[in-house]
Amino acid sequence: MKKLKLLIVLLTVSQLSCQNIDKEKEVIKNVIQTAYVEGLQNEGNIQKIDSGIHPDFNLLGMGKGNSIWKYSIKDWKAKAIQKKDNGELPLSGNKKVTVDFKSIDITGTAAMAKIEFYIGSKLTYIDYISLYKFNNGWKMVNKIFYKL
Amino acid sequence: MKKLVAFILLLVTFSVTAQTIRQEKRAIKKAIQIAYVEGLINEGNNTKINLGIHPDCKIMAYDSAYGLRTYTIKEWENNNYIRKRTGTLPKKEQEKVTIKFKHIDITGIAATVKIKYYEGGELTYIGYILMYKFDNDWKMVSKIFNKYLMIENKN
Repeated sequence: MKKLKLLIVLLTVSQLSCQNIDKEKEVIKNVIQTAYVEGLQNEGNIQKIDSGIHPDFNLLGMGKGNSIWKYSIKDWKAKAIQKKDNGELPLSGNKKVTVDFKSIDITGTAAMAKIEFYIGSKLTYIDYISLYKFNNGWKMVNKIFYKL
Repeated sequence: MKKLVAFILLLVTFSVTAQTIRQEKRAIKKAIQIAYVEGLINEGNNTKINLGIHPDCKIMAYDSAYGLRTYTIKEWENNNYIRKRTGTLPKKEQEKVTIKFKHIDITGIAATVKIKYYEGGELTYIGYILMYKFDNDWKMVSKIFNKYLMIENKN
């Protein structure tokens, strides 16, 4: 009888934990969709960007030789504002960016997301995004990418 | 006959791709083991560190009390110099850090790695590492982590 009770408790805890993880994954998807895809890529909407991208965020890329370059969110936001002023944003039609979530792995307050990045219908990049869960929610803190 | 040739070609391509990915995963594991575990954490050996950690790599730490803190590898190397002088490095056998690789995902020259981090045999952190492949060498460019005590999802 005791073993059965223990098994039921374990199953319940496991189910609750799975539900929590699924819920957190949905929150992370929303954060990336709102802040990165809509805010940064498609609209140049600073409020949306700030809702899900930490001020210390950097996009990291490979430079010449063995160097890496960094693109801070501060610079990226400035570029987005400039594009908005020039009429290059918001994007529309086949220039619009969409993403497909390939995997999200969460451990406590840290997470890693892998996404496919489409420009129009063309798969253009694979992104790996690291996130932390702050007091005010999940925020992207770093991103690397591979151009296809 | 044509179908058979196409099928064989597909099998060969699949086999070569799988083998390449296995090789890349081995290279990534080796880079993290030598540069991070041995070089940075257990020994304070800058030569080993440079083999698998990019000089511009940053380790980002977050907790609600201190917020987000970023450590450069240069800062870490300088601290290791002090640790070596004061005798806290290299770590004693029973204090040594070991890791287990939980997941490696590679796309071209970019990769992410999830590790379990043990201090003296006790699981203390889960780490997520971002890496790029420079020429022929995989190097860590960023890491975030979570203290094991805080973990709800013990997967």
